[in-house]
Amino acid sequence: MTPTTCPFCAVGCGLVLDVAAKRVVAVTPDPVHPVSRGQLCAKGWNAGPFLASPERLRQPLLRRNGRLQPAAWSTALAAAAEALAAARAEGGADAVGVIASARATNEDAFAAMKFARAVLGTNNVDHCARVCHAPSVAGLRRTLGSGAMTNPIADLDEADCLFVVGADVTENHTIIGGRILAAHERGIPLVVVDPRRTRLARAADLHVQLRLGTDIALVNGMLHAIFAHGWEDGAYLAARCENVAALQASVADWTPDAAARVTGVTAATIVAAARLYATSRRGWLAYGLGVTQHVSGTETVIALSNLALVTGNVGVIGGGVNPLRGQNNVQGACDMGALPDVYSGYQAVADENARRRFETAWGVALPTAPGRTSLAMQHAAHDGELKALVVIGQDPAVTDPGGRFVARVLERLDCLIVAELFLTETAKLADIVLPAASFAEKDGTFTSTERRVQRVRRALAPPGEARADWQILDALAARLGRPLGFRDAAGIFAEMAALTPSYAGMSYARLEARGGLCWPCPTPTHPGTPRLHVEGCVRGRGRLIPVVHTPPAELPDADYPLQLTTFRLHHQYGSGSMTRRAPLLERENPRGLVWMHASDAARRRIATGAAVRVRSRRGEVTTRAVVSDDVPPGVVAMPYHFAEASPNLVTNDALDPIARMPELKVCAVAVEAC
Amino acid sequence: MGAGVLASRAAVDRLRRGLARDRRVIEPRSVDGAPLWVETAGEGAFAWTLAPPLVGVKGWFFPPREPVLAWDGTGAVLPTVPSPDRIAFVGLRACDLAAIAHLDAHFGADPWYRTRRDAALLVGVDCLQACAGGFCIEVDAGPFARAAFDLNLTPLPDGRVVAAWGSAVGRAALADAGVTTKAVDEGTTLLLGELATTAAASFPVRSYVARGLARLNAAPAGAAIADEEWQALGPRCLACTGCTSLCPTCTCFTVVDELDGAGGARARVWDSCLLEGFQREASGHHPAPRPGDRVRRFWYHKLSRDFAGPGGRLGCVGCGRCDVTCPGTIGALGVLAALGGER
Amino acid sequence: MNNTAAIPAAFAATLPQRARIAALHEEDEDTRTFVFRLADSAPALDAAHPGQFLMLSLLGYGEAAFSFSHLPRAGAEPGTVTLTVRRVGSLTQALFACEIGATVGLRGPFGRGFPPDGAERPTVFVAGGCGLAPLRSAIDVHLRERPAGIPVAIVYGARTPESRILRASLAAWQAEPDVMLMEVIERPTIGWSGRTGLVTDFVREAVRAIEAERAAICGPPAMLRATADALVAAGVAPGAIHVALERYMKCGTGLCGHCYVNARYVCSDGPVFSYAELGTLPDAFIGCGSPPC
Repeated sequence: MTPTTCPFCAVGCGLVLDVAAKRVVAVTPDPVHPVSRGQLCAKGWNAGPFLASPERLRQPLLRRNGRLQPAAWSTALAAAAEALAAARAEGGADAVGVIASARATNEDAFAAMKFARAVLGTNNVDHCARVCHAPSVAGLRRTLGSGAMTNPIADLDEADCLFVVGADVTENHTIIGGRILAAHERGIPLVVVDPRRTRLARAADLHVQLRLGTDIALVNGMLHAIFAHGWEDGAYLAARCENVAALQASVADWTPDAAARVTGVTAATIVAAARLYATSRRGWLAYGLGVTQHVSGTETVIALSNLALVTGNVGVIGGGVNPLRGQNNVQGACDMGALPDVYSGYQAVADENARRRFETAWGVALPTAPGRTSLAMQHAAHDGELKALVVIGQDPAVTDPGGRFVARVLERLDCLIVAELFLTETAKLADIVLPAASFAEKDGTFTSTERRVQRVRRALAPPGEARADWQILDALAARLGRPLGFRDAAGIFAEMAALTPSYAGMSYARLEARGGLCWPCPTPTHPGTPRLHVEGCVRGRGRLIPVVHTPPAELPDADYPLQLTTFRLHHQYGSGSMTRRAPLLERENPRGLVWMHASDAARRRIATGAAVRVRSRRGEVTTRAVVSDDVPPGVVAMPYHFAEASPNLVTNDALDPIARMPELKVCAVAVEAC
Repeated sequence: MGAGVLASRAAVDRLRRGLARDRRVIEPRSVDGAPLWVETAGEGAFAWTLAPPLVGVKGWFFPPREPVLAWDGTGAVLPTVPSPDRIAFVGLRACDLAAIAHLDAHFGADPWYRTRRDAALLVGVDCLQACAGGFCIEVDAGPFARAAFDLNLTPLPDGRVVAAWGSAVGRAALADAGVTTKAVDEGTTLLLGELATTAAASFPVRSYVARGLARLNAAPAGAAIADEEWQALGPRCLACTGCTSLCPTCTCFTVVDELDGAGGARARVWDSCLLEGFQREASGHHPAPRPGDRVRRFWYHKLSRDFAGPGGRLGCVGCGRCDVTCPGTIGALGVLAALGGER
Repeated sequence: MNNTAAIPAAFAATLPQRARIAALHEEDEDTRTFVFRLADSAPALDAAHPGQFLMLSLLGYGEAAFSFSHLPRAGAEPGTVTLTVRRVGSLTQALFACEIGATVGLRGPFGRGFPPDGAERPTVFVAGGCGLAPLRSAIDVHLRERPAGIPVAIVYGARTPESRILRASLAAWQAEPDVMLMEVIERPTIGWSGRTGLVTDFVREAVRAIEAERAAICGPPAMLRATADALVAAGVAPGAIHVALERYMKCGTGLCGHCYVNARYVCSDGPVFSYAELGTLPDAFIGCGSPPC
């Protein structure tokens, strides 16, 4: 019986692995876990099967004569080291890059960023936060000084109003979603802002069914109404915020009527949403990828921060601006500095003091200029400037936008090295595939969406010759002549904590207790910080920043008359490499689907189950229709888990100019029966 | 079958160690604050008052994954025969014993179940006090054991323990451990009655349970509860499979073929009737298409007399685990509260 | 078939019996009749009744339930099993890829078939689509056992003339004395001059023509209740109408739970139920809202 942390979403539920005969025979909920309290979602309950899948990679694969063939570790590592060295020799240190994993442990992510910076000598290190919550990090750092969820999950039980924006919480963060449903049943008002009629939207007191990508207009309309009715928290604004007048002036023209014209929501609804949220004593605001995956993602995050600050909801119990992070350790991978511009703890690589600390600790000169983001690395690969790439536990060929572009650029690399559990679509393109250990086969930590750092514990040995990512990187670094010097996961954590103020007070000994610790935890006796910004914002005063509505980069027209949005299903996760190997999960949604409204379906003579083609300017995908009022007329929605029907063959890679986040949540498409 | 009085709780410790001579002894223990079934070899203090573990013992008899046959590259196909260790569970509560009686009746002569079940000796311990969330008393499954045990223990306030044996194996276990019993005298019988009364009185009043059960069981089947009531509960089922996994009487499984090179295995794997895919047919037809249909079907299976098992007991034994694990707050008490007009 | 000497009998008895595809016949694009020859004698399968089913196993693809479309009782060769299979899922897809000689596993027979009594009573059989397959063996057994002169009506509905299956049997029944075969086509194509519409449109005519006292129905879910109601309206007692239900099944032996309808299991209490009994099972026809076909 090994208590550990769930490897799926970022809620950070506690689960217990029961191992017999070298196999996880049962996965059960941890009855005393402070977050999940004896509950799990369907993914958690079904976390066992993929571990024992015969399809797990058990030995390294090396491409020979065009085919991936089994190879010894020594051969594969030598080939990888040689390719990385050759790429550096030819194109300089920035001709190589590392994509870290938001699914692996903090220790793996720290190893990845150290490997990129100290071994390869480049800041080209990034991970999939780029396509989920990079705008949260960028936006909230500007307004509050910290890019993370401000309040704990448990605070939703203390709230007087729950305000959910662009998040399908019951499906994607089920244990939080259930808690929201329960709070709502106790009488706490629930407002849901979502273009789709999600389960929560159907339950909500108010469903604000706005047009795709019009959140800023909605929030500015709400702010207008709040100022107009005097619902703002004047004392809080005076004491704790800055730039109030500028914000108030910026929304002066955003009357509810003006906002209604842009959002497609009635002015009365906008005012009602403003009243419910602003006049409740404490409002717990949570949001998801519906906010971030837009060209205006960072500005939309800022808008929500404005809303929370104006109503005095930051730094208080039951309030907050709470990004619901997607992957188990996407918070941790960001915290660990698996990002091109920061070391662990968001210490900027451009900051000389920070750089010196890491140079001193690691005994090596580090690069000074920020590196490339994951998508910039793809473009650099396309242009021939990036020649070799190490991808750890991520499947950008399925999960990144832009049609076949990603696969093409990955093929164009001189060398693609992939560490994975399975031969994913990305791994199939690799020159060298290295078998990785799963969460159940290694020690480490995950940091959940509420900044909760929790232990991941080894319950069984990895299959075949698979190794933890950090061990793979350590071995590769040794081949390159600069070993990372790691002995075990606890040692990596200790090194990281010594270099990372927000984790400085943590150790494996302290993390033994259920629920771990929430950062910041600066000293060994510090109890951790479930709630941020209590004594004033991390940056000092909360900064109100006027933002203006920017329409989606691509709007419908005669050729592509519908808007496509993407979403996630409860029973699948990411590109499905884990969940699609669980028979019950795979059976539940056996193939890719596109949801469409009856009026759009009827016009095209499409019925539920019919084969349809979804086309955009970037590509097309064939899938099956679900006719449903989950989506409004004019909008179609696809889950992105299925490689055989991936919406990312058609989604737009137009970027948020600040966070470089692609606009995965909206593009123009045509749909026809086929 | 019979009963006797043990002089003290130390006799129970003797029994536990005796059982450990030729069995793995599994007992509830508090681990990091959570009651869990733990292998103890009968050592250490027995947890007389610990609440039942959230995860019961069902998986020992009906594992989450049970290979039933295997084949290799030569085309040979052989059934997979389990060889379970001899086990003694000490400390099963009445609810879990009632559930095992259901499992015994359901699986009957199924060789996989029977092989695992026959390897286990069951020692119950009566609950003198209601546990949080348990409502065994409302469904005639507890708090004193009724069924399935080889031995059942009732601790008395004076330190003595009444041991009832439900099988020859149970009786022999006492003898083999060198535990002697005295006849149950009239005073002890009276005391047992008082304890039962006190235990019953310790349960909170939940009048909605009886109301909900009555509505659900009104004839003709299903007539008293409008479809809309079930459809209103439907969206609260997030299809997590928690209730069916923890329910000690849930027995549904699917069968999957697992390929491994040229060979493979066919395995029974726990399934959940609350999943949409559970009954979806290859043609696309679905006999329970809406979530509310599936919620209704599940709860009829648990709470309707049509599904009554051994002793006429409902498929729900009142353990309350589903209420703990349901993110949508529609475990048994949640549903009965809705049906009984309490929510 | 395998060396099971060391295996306890209770386990050995659960193994599928090995059989090879001995013959196959294309019924239409997606429907095929397979004749399997069992490797070892299987008296239980030889003795199967119409309406019973078996589990067909393909290693790597699992098992699925199929009703017998021909039986030794109806004249099929002992030691063979005949199934008419529609290609709808991964297992049937894999089966269609098999050639003559390929090995499958068979377990059965399971369930309660059409009641064996009643050969002396005028009976109407109503089949829709590939529901004719399970009903064929019932019809053939009935025709063998009925006393001379007892009339039979067979109403068979198909989507198009081309999608009619088991045409040799249709022709044979047509040629039998005192058999009234009514083929009904939902979407007639050019050249079809017979009946058009749904089977329910012709049930009354069939019942009247032979003064039917009992009936058997097999077909897609949406057709079953509509047909049974039409039979009742035409005067057949609900207790004498026998309906073959279908459900997703995983074990065939009442354990896996997939096929339960209220408190009954389709696999062990059915798959054939009288319409009177189905009246007490409100879940039997949920999800059959689409128009009868």
